Amino acid sequence: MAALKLEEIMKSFGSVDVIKGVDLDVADGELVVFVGPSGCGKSTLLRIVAGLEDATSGTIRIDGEACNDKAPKERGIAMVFQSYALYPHKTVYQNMAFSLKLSRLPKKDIDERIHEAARILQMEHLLQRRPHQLSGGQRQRVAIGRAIVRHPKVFLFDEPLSNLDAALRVSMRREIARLHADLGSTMIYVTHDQVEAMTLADRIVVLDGGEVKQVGTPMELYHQPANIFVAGFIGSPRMNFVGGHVDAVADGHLSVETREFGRLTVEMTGSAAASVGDRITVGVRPEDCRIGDAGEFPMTIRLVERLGDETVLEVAGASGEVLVVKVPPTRDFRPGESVGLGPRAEALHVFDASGRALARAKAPAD
Amino acid sequence: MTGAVFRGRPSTGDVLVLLAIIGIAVVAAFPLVWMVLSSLKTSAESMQTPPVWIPDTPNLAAFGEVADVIDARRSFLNSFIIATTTTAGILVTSLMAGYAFAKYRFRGRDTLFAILIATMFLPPIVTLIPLYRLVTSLGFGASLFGVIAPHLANAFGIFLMRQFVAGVPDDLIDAARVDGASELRIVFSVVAPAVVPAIAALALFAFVYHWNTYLWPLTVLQGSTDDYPIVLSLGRLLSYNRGAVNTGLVMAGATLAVLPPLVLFVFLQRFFVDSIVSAGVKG
Repeated sequence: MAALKLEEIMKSFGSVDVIKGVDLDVADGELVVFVGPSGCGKSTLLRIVAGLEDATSGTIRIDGEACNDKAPKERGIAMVFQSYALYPHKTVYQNMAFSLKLSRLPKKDIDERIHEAARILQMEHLLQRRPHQLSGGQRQRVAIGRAIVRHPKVFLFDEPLSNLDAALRVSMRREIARLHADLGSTMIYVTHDQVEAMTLADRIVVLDGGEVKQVGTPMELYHQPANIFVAGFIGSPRMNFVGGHVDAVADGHLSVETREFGRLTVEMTGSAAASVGDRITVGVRPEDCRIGDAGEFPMTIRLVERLGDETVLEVAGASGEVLVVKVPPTRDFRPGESVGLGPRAEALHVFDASGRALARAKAPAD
Repeated sequence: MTGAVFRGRPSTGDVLVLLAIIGIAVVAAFPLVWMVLSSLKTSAESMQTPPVWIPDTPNLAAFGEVADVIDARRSFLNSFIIATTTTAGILVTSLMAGYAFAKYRFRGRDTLFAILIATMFLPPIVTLIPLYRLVTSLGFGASLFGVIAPHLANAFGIFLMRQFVAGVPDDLIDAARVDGASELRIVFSVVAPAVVPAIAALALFAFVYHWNTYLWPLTVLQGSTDDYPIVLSLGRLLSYNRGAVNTGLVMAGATLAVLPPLVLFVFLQRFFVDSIVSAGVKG
């Protein structure tokens, strides 16, 4: 186990900057998830940590030791790939033994480590099979086993569940969480799936365009997004955004005028960096909208998605702006039905013109 | 042509294609069959006009006589050394260079590859004299090493391997790097097992070509008959008996000479066909 530190990491391919100065501290034993849309640089950053890509500038420290010039095998890392990357001509046992043989570990130790990993992952019966004789889930388990046997300082996971079907993804996700709890190892996990990020991470790093947009615990990111990108990326269905302008700033309150919700008042910290007339964006999560017959703002239901434990409604106001609302499944809504919508004032997020969140007095989760 | 074509009633087009294939196969196989049959004929039958197709009493006398005229064991050994060493060299260099072209990013890679491909279009006769002068100036003339050395790398082999290695997933190579494998280990322990059909096909190509090669050893060996491969020694069967034509003897020698590549083809033909098919779909 080890701490990981990234200092001003930059990476360019020709004239294209794909990582633009990333600083990050990962504590010993922490599971940090890199999340972001396709092309945000999360996999590149992981490959830089692994030593499979060179950083254009910046320093990678594992256990306090700079390892920019070290080969992957010298960094004490193990990596699990999206495609499993199992050697097709080797058995499961041979796949797991490959790195240990290369490090000239005695045969007895190799055998012990493989059987220990196989026991942890409940795949002792698969050891003599070849990858093509395994299901997707089993292959991914072997890939994880191959990482475990190395006793690495840092585990790196590159979208390990993306190739699995939905049910298997959930069970493997839990298995990885259990593994982290059992091993207590430092892990970096890359995914584009924010549900994976939320459920697995001690902390999440949200990346976009090669920049870190926010680092925090899953709940921090959910309830206190630092900017409009994080607010929109974290949460499913995504946060609703409506445009407006600042109407009044007084007494720790911000009064904003929006087309959909009319005038809203948000309690802010003392020094809300907003002035009257500033263009702002108001964000409200689908579950933070009340809906009823006599709500504050008239809307028409366009789409009803019944998920069993909850119902997701797509509603449109007079202006045509479409909002998504999550409600309990107790009432049977119909498309075309008129309803009233009222956002919970205490759950509103306000972003300035540059997309930066304006500090609220109290976060919903506080 | 797929099996499905024959499940229903074959169309006229199918029949014509099938006839054409049979015709081509017969034309291709005829010299080989004629060679084997002739090697089993008596001298009289060999000379007869019109020719005797099937010998009345097939006999192996000509095969025994071959060993009297040439040092067949030595010639076969020379051929074997030339063909296997060259093939091994081509496999190693092609795999390594193909891996580099397929998986490394370096300045001038595509230009270098284009130049390499361009050399495939040079007729061997064009390079014969310059290569001969180079080999002799290095002191390798009139030796088996001189025959082998210039052919240890081969543009076609590199091209073939590059195409196949490009299809090996990058993740597999990265996984091996993380596992601590050196680049050489990756080439031979991870990449090579993934491109076995291509290796088998290239081995077959290279072995057959260098088993049968005539002009280059003839030029380099400069009459050093002890180093002659079997293909050159067959020439001595032609001039044996003061120039009298002895078809049976020559055909017996040729039949023996053709056996090793034929046996190799039987073993590797599955890979050979696989590689030809997949070479058409890999990028």
